[in-house]
Amino acid sequence: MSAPAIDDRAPAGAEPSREPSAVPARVVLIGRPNSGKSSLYNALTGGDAHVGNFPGITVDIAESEVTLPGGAKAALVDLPGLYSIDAVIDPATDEGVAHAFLEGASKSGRALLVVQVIDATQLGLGLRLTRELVRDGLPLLVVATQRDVLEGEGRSLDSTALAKAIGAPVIHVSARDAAARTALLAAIETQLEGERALPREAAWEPGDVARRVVKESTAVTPAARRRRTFTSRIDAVLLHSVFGPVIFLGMMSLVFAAVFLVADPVTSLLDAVVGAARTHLTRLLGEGLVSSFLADGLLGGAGTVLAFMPQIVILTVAMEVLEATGYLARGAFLVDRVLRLLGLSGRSFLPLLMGHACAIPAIAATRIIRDPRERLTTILVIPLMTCSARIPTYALVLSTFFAGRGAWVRALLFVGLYFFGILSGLVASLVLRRSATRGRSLPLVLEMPAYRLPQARLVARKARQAGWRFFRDVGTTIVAVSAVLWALLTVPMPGQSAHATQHASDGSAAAAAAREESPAIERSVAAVIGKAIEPVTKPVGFDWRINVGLIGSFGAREVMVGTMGVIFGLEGAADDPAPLSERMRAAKSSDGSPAYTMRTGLALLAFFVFACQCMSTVAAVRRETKTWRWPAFVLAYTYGVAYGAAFLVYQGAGWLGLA
Amino acid sequence: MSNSAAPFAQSDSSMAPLSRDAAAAIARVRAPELARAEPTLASVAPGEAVRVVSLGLDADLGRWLGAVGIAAGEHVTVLRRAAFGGPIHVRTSAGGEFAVARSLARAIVIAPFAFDAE
Repeated sequence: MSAPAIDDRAPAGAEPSREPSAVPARVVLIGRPNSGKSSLYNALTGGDAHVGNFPGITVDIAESEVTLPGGAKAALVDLPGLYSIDAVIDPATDEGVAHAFLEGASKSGRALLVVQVIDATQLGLGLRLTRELVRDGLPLLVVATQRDVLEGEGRSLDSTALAKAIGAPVIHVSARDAAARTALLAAIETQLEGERALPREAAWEPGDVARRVVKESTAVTPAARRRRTFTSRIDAVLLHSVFGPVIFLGMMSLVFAAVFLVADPVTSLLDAVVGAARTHLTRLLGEGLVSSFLADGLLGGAGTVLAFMPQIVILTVAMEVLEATGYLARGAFLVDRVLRLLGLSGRSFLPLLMGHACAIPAIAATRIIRDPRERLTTILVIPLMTCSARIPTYALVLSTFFAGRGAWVRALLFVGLYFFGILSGLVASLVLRRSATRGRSLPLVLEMPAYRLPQARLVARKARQAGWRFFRDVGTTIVAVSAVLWALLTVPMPGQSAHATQHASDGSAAAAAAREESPAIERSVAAVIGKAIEPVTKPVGFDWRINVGLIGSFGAREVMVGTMGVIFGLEGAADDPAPLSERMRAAKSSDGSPAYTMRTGLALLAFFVFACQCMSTVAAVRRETKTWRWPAFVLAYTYGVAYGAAFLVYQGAGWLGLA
Repeated sequence: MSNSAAPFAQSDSSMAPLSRDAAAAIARVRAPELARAEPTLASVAPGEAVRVVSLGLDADLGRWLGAVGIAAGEHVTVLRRAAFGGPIHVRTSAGGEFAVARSLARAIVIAPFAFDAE
């Protein structure tokens, strides 16, 4: 029971609107998922939201300041979508979070108004939550949205009758309508001023009330009739037992095709821009430690960040469109059974699929999974999906060791690596659900919302936010890691002589850069460490050079190719992988035999399938689980399995006589 | 290494964030007495409308289902069933549509109900 809020305020009610502006009133938006709450929140705030910091609340809750018509400010809080605040199955679910939040808010003594958003086309459902809020004595304003949709279906809502029946003020708007914002802000202000004329009434049946206040218009047009059955007619096709899965797979392929088709040219363009900036910088500052740091360390890192931006934005747009139309729930319905075998559910599907482009947005997308254990499991296996950053290394290894095998063998291996990633992810989730994340999940109850047209503005805003968030959270990590890496590869190990650098600078200007890197790198901290761990990596066939590559790509696996290029003394290796692969094939170990064979290649591939060589992923896991324990776990298990797999492959290939 | 309180780190003993009560509620979904001959939502054919008689579930889970319109006395229409024992797509009398896991549907006891579709 959290009744005191409004009563606390009552004694001071003489001049409520002149309450100190230092503590603005708190207006909490609450509503079922798909009720149109987020559209309304965005309409009210203009999309200017930040994640509020609330003690004891670990789920992101958006908060934003709005100015009421009278000039007073109010803090607008957007609670996660929920069905009930009383029936709390688990404190970690959205219901639990909202419950805790409301309890805290009503005790804080700050002026509070709960604004419940109800989809007017599903009034009976929304009113169940209304009744809970009325019973809890929370100061309430009901906003019935989807006015346009309701009227399009030939119905109308008698909001006066509804207000009387439920004992709380009601306004009826369409979130797409520009006037909705003004009307709503005015209503919020009126309520905050404490004019509560309606007697509280909780003894009513949501279904009865809904039937009473929603009126059929006198003449229902055939078009309105068709609109009423729109969702079920679409579902008849999209959830058809045969066409449904086919359309679903097609839809998903389309999303990924879009990612690769659109992201690829944009990424190469950004690469070119960063490359040009690099050249320019080097010319401007000349060769030296500072320019090397700026060009290789910082610009290289920034380039990596920017290269991933298009993917993030495209995936966010695709996700938002699928979500806003209501199709995402259908996809979950279709694949639920298969994923249930592995201890996951339909909700895990999309994040796992997204992991094939990039693990970072995929990990953020696990928020759609309600069950905390299932969500954790999904987060832990996403790093095994074949993300696009693995592709350059796969390509390098395949062209180095399988050049003579024909294109179709390489293509087959490539596809095989994808499926191997999926398979290992599914096996990992099966194992995790029986160990680290053991326990039953919440049974799936998933709302199948009516199909709606997504709002372009809202989708664009989400994409912008996702892009910015990636840039801020992950970007800083990547740049920091690149800088550290540069230092490790550049700074000589203490005690190692440094005159090679001086030799190189005496040489011709063009060749200097190439020759300078190679010897310097051998004495670098990274190389010394690479040699030191050779005994550990010998059983999997990796020599110190590969070790340095792996150390280099610890922070970001896409750095592997570039690092190998630097190690093998090649300038611009990324532009032209063939010479690098030849150089790697020709590499000799200290006794003169070839350093690498096909066994090494296979072991390297096995290692790359599993190892979570991505600090950004680790940062994302940390962000979503809010503890260091799970990112540490991800690192430990992926590297452990990676080493084991590489060992098996290398030794197994040796037994089979593969050279 | 800051280790802040978080949903994922709450219950240390089980390494799992789900409360014991919730786990018990779910365990009861498959309580043996429910395997008797009473018809459940899991056995309803697509297109059929039924009345919910009782929920063989823990009170919390039952109340949560009540909040979405699946409670004793409510009417539910089965729209379709996903293949291979997947979820069941239902419409509640309040007008919402939900996918309900088959395991959960087996705990929802129903009775036939003549329902005049609009």
